Amino acid sequence: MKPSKPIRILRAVILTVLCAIWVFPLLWTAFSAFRPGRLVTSFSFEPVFSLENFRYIFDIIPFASYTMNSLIFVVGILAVQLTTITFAAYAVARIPFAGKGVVMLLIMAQIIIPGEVLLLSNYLTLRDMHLLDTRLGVMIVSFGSAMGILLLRQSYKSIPLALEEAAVLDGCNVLQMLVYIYIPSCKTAYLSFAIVSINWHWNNFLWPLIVINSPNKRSLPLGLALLTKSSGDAGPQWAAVTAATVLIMLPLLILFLIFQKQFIKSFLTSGMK
Amino acid sequence: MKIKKVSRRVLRQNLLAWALLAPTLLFLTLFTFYPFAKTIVLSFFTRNLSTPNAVFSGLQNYRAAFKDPVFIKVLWNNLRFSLLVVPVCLCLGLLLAYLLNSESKGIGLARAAIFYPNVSPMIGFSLVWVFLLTPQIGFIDNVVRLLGGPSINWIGDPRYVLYAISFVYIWREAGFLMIFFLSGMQAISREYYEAAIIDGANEWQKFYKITLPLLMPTMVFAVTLSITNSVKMVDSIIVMTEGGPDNASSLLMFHIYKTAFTYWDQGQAAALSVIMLAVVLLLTALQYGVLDRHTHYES
Repeated sequence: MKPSKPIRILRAVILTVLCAIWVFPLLWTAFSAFRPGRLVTSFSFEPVFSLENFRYIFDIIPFASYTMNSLIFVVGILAVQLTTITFAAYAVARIPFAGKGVVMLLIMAQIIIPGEVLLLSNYLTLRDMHLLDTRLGVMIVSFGSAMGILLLRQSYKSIPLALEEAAVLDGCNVLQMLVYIYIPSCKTAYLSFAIVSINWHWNNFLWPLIVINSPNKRSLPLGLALLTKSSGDAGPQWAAVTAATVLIMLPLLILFLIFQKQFIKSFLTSGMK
Repeated sequence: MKIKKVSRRVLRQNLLAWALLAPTLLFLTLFTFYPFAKTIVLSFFTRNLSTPNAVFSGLQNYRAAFKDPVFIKVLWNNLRFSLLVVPVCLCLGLLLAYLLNSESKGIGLARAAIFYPNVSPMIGFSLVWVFLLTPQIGFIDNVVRLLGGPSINWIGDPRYVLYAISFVYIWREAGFLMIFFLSGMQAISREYYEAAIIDGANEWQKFYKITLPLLMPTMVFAVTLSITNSVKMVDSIIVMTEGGPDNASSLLMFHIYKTAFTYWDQGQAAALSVIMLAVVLLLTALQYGVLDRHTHYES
């Protein structure tokens, strides 16, 4: 069944070359992050390493505060999303009601409309709501998720109705039913959704850039983008960018390496990154 | 009696359903449907720094857009960009999926090596790419010069800047498309290949006659996805080039962003958004309606 030996060798060689090209920016970033700023820009490979870049970014930017804001954005958005999509998915998966077709159509519409064209109008709405330059303003536009609803609806539908009927006989209300039956049985779907949501909002740049003005409300990607704008020599600046990139990517990269299959499955089912 | 009981049950179900949907519908209305309608309406109005109160101006914004040489240049840039990155990403994605579709040792690591840009902060890596490409100090420039090549100012030269943007884009997007092709390939039954081997098919024939045709639904999805993404590309441009030099790297979405949030020409930005919306919706319609009825949500 296996291809012949020359073909397998050829495949392995091409794959190795491509992987090397792909990983190179990561390796170079990690390497530069631990090099003194003056060496980073001089194409030298002297084995001199230091932590000065990390000290530098902690000194010149409020890294802890950026991290806190990023965490608030990611956790806040995910918490509200999980609530709204759980309720909505149960309604469209299990309850017969008038207007269901229209609701499904609206949900599909949100998937099709690209969020990018809504930036300006959403900005104007936030201004009218006095939510510009607030953390809530960054988060609120993502509180509803059609993609999450469709994802959950699929797995809710696969739960046997008999379970629900038994729960009703035992006197469970809807909330209890969701907490004791639906949510525990659909852990994979929730995880899939959570991965895509966390990845998107942790790395999200454009929307916070538009909404946030105050330095104390900036998220990590905003702080990172500003690093090159600060005054100073090119060497330490580029070194700082690599150090900050390493710090920002580390949490997700570690999770990705451990839960690789689950990550890729999430992106496959959502069609998003 | 019975009818009354049934109708009360129906009423209760309806109330419950709408109550459960209320938060979602509230947020979708406020931040998707209302701004959607607002963008379309605003595109027929003049509203900018000198005209803060919107004045109806019909198709003026659209006419202005197509008379603006910068916008024409942006469209041309985006067309060139898409024509470059979409085929390259699709071919690379397909090649990578083919190479990664095996159970050899270390294949998981290889897959991670190709996919990781998609779980990384693009802002950071866009800057790292600028660093790598900068003349004199960047690694790539140094290596090219060491090998006797010319020192190219990838970011600063209008002739090359679009390629610099494209590298970064392809580096990320090819790995993303790869997972769809890979999952498509893994779904193909081994029996086809076994039969082909009995018939004496070689590796290329197996790929061309079995893998590729059976991947067609995935291909349709991937083509639409990659074209749409190439029209939405904006983050890297903001941190790498700000559209420059001389608008040589300004693409559609970046142009809209600049019109809206740098020039504050809201009516104009709305019209440009509608144009972009038309492009994206047309592509989506092609995918769902004409090319294939296959979607990734139903199973």
